[in-house]
Amino acid sequence: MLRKTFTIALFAVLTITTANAAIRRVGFTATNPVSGVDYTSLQAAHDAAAIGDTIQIYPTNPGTTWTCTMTKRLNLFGTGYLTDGGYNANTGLQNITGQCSVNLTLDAGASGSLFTGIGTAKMTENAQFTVDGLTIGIVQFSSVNNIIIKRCIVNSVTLANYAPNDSWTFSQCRFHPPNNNYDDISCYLINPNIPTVGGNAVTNLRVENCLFTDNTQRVNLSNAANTGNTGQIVNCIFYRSDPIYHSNFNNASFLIQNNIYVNGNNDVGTSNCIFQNNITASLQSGNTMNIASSSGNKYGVIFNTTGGNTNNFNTVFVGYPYNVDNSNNTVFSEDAKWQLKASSAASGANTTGGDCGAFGGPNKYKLAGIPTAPAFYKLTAPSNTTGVGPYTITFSVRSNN
Amino acid sequence: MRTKTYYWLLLLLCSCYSLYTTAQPNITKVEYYIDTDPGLGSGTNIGISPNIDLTNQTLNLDLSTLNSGIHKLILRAKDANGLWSHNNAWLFVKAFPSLAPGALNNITNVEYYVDTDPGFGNATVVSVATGTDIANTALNLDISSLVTGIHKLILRAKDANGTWSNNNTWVFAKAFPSLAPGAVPNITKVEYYIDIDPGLGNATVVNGASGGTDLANLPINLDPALLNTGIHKLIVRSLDANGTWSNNNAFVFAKAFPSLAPGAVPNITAVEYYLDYDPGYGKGKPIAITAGTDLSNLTFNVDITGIVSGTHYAIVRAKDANGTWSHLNNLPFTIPGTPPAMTTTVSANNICGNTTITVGAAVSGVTFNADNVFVVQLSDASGSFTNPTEIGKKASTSGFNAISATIPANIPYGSSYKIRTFTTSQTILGADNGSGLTLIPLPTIPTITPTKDTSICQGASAAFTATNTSGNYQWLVNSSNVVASGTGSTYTTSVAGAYSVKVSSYNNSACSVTSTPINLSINPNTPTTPTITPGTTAVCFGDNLVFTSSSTTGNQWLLNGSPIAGETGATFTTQSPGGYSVRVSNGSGCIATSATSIITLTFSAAPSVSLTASATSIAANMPVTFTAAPNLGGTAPSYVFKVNGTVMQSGSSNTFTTSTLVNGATVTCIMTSNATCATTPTASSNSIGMSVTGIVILPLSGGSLNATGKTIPSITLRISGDITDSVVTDGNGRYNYNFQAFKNYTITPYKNNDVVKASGINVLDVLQTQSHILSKVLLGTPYKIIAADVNSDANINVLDVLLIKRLILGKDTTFSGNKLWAFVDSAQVFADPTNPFPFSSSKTFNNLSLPLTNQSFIGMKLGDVNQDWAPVIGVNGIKPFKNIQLYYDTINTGDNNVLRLRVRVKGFKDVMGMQFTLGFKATDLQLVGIDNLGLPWEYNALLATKGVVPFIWADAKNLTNSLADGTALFDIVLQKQGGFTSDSLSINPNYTPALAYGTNYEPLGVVMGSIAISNSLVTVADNSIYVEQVLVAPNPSKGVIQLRITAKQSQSITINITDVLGRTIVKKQMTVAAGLNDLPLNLEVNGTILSGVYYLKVEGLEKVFVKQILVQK
Repeated sequence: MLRKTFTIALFAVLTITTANAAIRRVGFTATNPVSGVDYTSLQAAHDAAAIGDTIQIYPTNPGTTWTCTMTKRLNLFGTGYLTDGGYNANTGLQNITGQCSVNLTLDAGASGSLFTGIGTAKMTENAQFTVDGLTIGIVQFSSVNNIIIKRCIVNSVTLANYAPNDSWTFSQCRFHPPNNNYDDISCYLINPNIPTVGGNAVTNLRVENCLFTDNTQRVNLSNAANTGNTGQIVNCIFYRSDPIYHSNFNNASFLIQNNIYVNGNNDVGTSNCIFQNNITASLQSGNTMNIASSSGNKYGVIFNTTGGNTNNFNTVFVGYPYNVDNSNNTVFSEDAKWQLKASSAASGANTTGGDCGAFGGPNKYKLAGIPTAPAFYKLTAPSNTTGVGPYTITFSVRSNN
Repeated sequence: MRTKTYYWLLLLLCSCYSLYTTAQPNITKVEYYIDTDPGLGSGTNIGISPNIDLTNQTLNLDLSTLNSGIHKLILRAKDANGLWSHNNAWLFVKAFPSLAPGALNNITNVEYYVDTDPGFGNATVVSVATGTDIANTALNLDISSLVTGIHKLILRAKDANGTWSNNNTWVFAKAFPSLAPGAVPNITKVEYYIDIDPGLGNATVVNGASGGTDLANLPINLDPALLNTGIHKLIVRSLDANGTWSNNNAFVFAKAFPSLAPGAVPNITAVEYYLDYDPGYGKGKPIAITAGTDLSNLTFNVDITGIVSGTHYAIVRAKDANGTWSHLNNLPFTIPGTPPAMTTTVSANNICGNTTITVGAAVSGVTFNADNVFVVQLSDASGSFTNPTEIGKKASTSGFNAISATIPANIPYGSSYKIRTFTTSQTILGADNGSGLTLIPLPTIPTITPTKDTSICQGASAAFTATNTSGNYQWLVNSSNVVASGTGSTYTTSVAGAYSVKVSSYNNSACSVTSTPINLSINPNTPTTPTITPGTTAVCFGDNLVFTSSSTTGNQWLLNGSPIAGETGATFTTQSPGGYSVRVSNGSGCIATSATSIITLTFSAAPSVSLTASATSIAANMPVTFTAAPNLGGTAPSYVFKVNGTVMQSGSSNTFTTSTLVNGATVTCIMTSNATCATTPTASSNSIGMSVTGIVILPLSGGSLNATGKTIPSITLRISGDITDSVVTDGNGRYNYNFQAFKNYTITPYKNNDVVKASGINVLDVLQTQSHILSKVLLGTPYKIIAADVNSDANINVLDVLLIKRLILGKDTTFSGNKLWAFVDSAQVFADPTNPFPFSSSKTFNNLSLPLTNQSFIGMKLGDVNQDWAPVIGVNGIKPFKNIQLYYDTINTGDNNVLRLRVRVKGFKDVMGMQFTLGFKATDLQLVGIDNLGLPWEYNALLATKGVVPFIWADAKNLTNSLADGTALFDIVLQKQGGFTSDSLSINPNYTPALAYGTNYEPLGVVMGSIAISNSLVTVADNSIYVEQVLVAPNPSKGVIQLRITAKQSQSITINITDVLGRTIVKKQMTVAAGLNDLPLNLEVNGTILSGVYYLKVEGLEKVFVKQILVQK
């Protein structure tokens, strides 16, 4: 009886919270703005929002970088990325196209926020974008916790800078250098180059089903001042064209599980990491790579022997070695190409018998970062009207989880 | 003592006997020494009995103090005559000791030590029997306290002579313990912890893990529910029976995070759309669907009938079962035709923030839907609507609306704002208002501290401080009353009220905000400020002083501002100096503190007074000041000064000055003290004797010049003060006067003895004085200004002008105060040269003690503002630029005995002022009167008996006048006298000189012209005049006359009768009618009138008639 009463009360609270949450929009300029709903800047929408509100961010063309200092818990919804049907893009997922970038500074009040679907809709190989994803810098001395970044293009996120951070989750994200600059090592999850204060740590960090496939710096916990880092990296794909470290766990206690590493090493300086069912592969014959160059518990490491690796990268992902068809058309999108080939050694190789990599496990990577909201993927009507009705409009809409 | 006996007598006889074979004296002294002669008489005396022959005397020497070896004994004697024998030497030897060895010594001590020598005699003693040879004696050494390893035993002995043997060393070893291991201990305890070490022995014990030396495959069961997700470290360790802990053994494991796997795909439960303007989520027009996760190729119809022309958007969105809305998806479409035009008007321009204005929106020909709303948008400061701000809305289906809109309070200042409107259903975007609006942000609403209502005590003040807000501050009390001068960020007051501060925008004072008022109240229970008695006073040492507070309760006595413990009564007694006050409280939280009484402490003593003099040897009349210096005189001592015992001065002054002392006088002082602690009331000073010589004479000299340096002769210097006298300056303006020294004098110059009173004064001075009064051209020096003030009232005004004119005309012969000159001390410094009043017109010398020279004055001829006075009259080097010519006609008066001469002018052009004296033969003609015909001439008729009439005219506004040649200036009416021979007029240079001045005060000459005088009678036929004729009858009369005045029209006239001295006898003002008017007139005053000549003057509108009346009683 007591348990039942509690459940009902909790449900009531959640219902009230949901009912009070408002949707505010940024970047929607097709029609006259509605006061209290439409805003010309993300900061204005944030400032007007109540805790728990949702802000829908609309991509624009040319793209806009929305800059905001967040001091309250909000949900930021983009429309996903790689959705315009162009080069290496996905099709049939989202009707809205354009470019979008969000540059955030968070303070402790933003703890508990959700960022999802943020990224540019269009990408062109080797093009220089000015807007493309999410950058989050943490306000100094402010500890921001319980952040979920889901289905976003992540340019860079600075953690454990001047304060510890706890319970950050990166799920189904694609880490991508800002401005599409593949040589820019400023794309990072944790910046090793910024001195920290007082041994701040990143605790309970979850990086799952993410793509680190653009020569990004990945996860670097090498700063000696960052001690006590904990978390897990599960079902991710790490790719580098050179043997630079994917990750550095010198000061961490991490579970590294079911990932695929292409080229590069992991550096582990302590014995508090567990490596399980990770696959490594090399781009070039003769490259040496270590799943963990130092001591650490290693379980079920596949295809790896210390000091050498001869596995063929081209046998692992569907987009390699050639991602074009006979007519030179792209076969797989920029994120879809990291799916496993049917015969991939990563297939069925994870700790529960499933696949390694971003498309394996229970939290599979969502193509194009379509957020958990209905998405129209078709909206059309005759281009001309006569001024008298009816005017028939056709649409398709799909829900997402 | 070792002694040795010598037989020295024989030696002595041998040396002495041969010298004194006869009358031999006795030997009286025998002495000796060894080795070193101490001198005759200083050797060691040998006791003898005087004799001439001492034989076989013995001498015992003590050799113990001598060194071993050869020595020399010297023996000598002295006889009764004082003669000494020769020295007699005896060599002897003190033997050296024997070198033969002695007997063996016994060994008395044996001792030893291990490793470290404690020093001879300090080592461990070995017990042995005494002997010279100790053999085979055993030594038992306790090595228990020694460490294992090699050691050294050291043994040594000492004999009875205290001689130590050498050290004898024996090296030995104390063995190390055995290295053989013991039995394997059991493990007694196994424990573990996760992640954080609680310390050895404090971790979780593994059950069953004890009692053996090898515990294998023991399980550790962990409860995952107690662990957080993530990596963990298990640490296990054991303890053996010897108490030794094993190393920590770590095992790393992970507790997995909960799955991030998404839930099932929710169904889409709602799809809706709207056109152009969002009515809100869930308020759009629903599209019929069947819930599902993928709704493909559905259609819906939009009724576009009646929608205004232009581009429109169909907006569609969906919601899933979780309540999550999709983004908006818009589809633009166009309705053909021209969109309707909507205008926007604004009711105001310069608008303060937070002001509500009325915005007009007008559009015609549109049928709005029932949910239509007119929305008002505000541009940014540049007039752009890229980021508009919605400032008002109104639901309406009418095409013409007045919409209330509110300007944001904190809008940035700008003058290019614009406003526009749009509608939501139909959708029309209106044009903006067309012109820039000036919007002024409101200042930030200030807050003031204190932030809450506050209360102060009576007499205290409260300071209100406003937050730092940009704008102009104005403090308010009770909302509406502006606090005077309260324009700063703080305001301090002691008055109750509700205080607030209004901050106005710098851009527009009408844009203001006001803080929330804070009430200031005065605590009504503030105690009355107490007083204490006595006030500041002195207390004799050891006396009690009792203070009494005006308050009977709540007292706290203070010493130098600090509370005196326990002193809370209405009175307080003290013997100590300091500043005492009392603080009164009444429980209201307010206090009041009295003024402080300063208590000084004084020791009781007799008062005294010391007298000093500024000089004791003086010349007669020289003042001497005596000063009494009191000691213990109290707060108000009094003094009595005496000369030769006679009281000369008494009172509170401690100084006494006198200049009447004679030679030999003595001065004393008696001081009476009021000091509380004085033991006697009075004290007498010392006596001062004076030496006084004769009177000293001091010469004093000086002179006077005018401001241009001209010598002023014959000035009378009036001397006042200790003497009354005068001295007249010589021809060079110099004076010299001998004064008695040490007296007070004042010298005041005076001069009124000018032969020609108006010398240096003419119409130019009048004009320049007028110019100064009119502020046209100011008199440029303080001396000129002083000269203009002829009546010495420290003002320059029209009265001065009138008086100057009177002097010029000869009406007056002096100015006010019977003086013609003003003098200023030559040392005078004018602080404000434009206003020299007051100034020093005399010199005062107090206690004149030195001869002085150059005690001079600057003299100013009063009225001579252009400073052209010259000591020699008539010297005027200025040649007139041109001459004005006077001439006259004879006017027929109808009376052959009355001569009317009409003086006319020629060359009168650009003239500002003019003066002259008309002369006629007084024996032939008598002046009856003068009728001004144009310019307001002033004249002096009193000199007519001398045949002269001075005239002067100065334009009252210092403007130039020009008259046509032949213009009549005035008529001079003369009565022919007996023996009449001449009726001619001339310019008489001996009175008011003839001259004039032009535009720039340039001099002009005035001459009587050469135009021939016409003797023909001229009948007055000027139709412009209104009083045509005045007849008097009888004339002569006895004082009662009849006037017949013929007037051309009705008008007011003035009748004035004066005597020959110009004194008014009768003055009347009346109105006459047109035509003849007969008026009786009685000249009597109080029934009487003297015989003589009188002048009747009748002034009409434009003409003045003057007639002479004779009274014969």
